[in-house]
Amino acid sequence: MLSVAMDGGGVEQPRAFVEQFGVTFPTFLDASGLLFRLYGFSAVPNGVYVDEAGIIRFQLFTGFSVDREDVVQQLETLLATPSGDVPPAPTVAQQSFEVEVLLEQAAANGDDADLQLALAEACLQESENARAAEAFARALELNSESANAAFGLGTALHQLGQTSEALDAWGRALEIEPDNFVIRKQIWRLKHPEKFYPVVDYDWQKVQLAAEKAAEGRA
Amino acid sequence: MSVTLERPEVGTVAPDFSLPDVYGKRWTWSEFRGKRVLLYMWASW
Repeated sequence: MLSVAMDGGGVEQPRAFVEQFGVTFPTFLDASGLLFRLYGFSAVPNGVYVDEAGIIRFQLFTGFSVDREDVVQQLETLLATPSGDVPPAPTVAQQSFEVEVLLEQAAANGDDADLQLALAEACLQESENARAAEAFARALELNSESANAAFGLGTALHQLGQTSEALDAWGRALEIEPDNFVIRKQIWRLKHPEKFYPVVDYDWQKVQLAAEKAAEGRA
Repeated sequence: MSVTLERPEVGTVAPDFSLPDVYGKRWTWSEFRGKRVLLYMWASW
């Protein structure tokens, strides 16, 4: 079991959850929204079950819950399946996640948006926020429809304390993906912190979402 | 304007990635090969 917190607002809140509930499995922090790009989802919670060979056997996006009987049943069936021999890993080019390696690769391929994005994500994970912001901005320049690049840029700027620039970037991400609830909530958290701390006000979120959708002409 | 999101399908290889945990330790997805993994994506809000 692994969990990933899709929080662009910093590590404190997800860490508080992990400690409050005594979670014993690793909990990753995806501050740049890189899993949006890899898994193409627009809301949480999501569950993906992967077997020994690294093959996806089950996935449910939005509404994944172990309180759902059908979900539990499917997972139990998969878990009851005996392991076969694990086939050799498919031969794909080994990807690097190291800042130094990615810097060299990105410098040599200045027009590769995916490389800029990978570099930016690696920088963000190392808290090299200024360098991350620069690479996210470049990735967005190369691919203006990358919500991941715009979201990551906002997160890096937020870490740098540039709040209004961060909101601009997250706003751009939301323009690209208006149905992405993770992005929308990140903006709300920054603009209306009192609705999220100390208690998350879910009724307020419903009203706010309806108002914004109406304003966007999508009600 | 919206873009079509690509989602990996059941039966295909889960994409590799690297992320830190909430204590700052870096992990790579490929480290979990050979194990059955349930990847749960959530948010604190």
